[in-house]
Amino acid sequence: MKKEKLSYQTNLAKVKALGSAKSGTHHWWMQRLTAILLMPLMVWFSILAIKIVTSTNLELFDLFASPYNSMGIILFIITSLYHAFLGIKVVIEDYIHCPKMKLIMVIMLHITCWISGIAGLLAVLIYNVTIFGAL
Amino acid sequence: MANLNTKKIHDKRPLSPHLTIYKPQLSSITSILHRITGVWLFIGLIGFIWWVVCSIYTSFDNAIAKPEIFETVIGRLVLLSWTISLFYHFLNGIRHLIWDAGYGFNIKTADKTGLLVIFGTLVLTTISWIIALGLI
Repeated sequence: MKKEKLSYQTNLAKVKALGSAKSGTHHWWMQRLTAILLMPLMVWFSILAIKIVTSTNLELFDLFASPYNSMGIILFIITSLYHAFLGIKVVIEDYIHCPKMKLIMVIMLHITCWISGIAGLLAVLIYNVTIFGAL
Repeated sequence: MANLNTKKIHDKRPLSPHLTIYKPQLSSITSILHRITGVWLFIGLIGFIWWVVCSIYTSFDNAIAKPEIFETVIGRLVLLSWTISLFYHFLNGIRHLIWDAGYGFNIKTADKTGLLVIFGTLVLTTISWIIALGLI
């Protein structure tokens, strides 16, 4: 005997794809997790930002060559970009009502975050490899 | 398939007023500020990442790594608004995490922590800018 899955959705609701998107809890938890991880990273980033602003461009060479700073920058870029992506996605979904525009903007958000993230990681990596090779 | 969002096409019925009549409160203002600062921070974050990328690939050339725009008044105001947003979003984010953990989600405590967040934002921004401007 085929056992039917119990669902309170009407047929119309099913056809219109209404109801939960199924990944809401994951989104919520990832937002909180990245927020927690960003707490120490924020302190670190504030100190780095002050150092960047107050150092000459020759001192910037050494600042970015330090493996600790490079690690910090990479962790900061990844975590803050993911956190920002989750946040902005919700903002887009809240304020853009047209389904086509919503989809386009979420995809553009994906593209922006991915390109910026990969560009940042690649730059720091290449810089470290170059500096390490020059040692 | 018909447009799922039929509101714009058919619905000319009036909405009852909301933003125009509701008295602004600490809870609602801190909440929308969290979102606004978040969006502004995102834009600045993308800018910062591309500053890192461009600076590295031009070997920290003076024109790229230390752009003149940040010496101007408007440039400094933009930076100031970003740092205020950073500290506000950070402190209010902690307030949100405390709520998520189950503590302090009542009007009295939320108002107190809200004031703490605003005060903390001003303190942190002032301290960081004093240090960054080399006034210490």
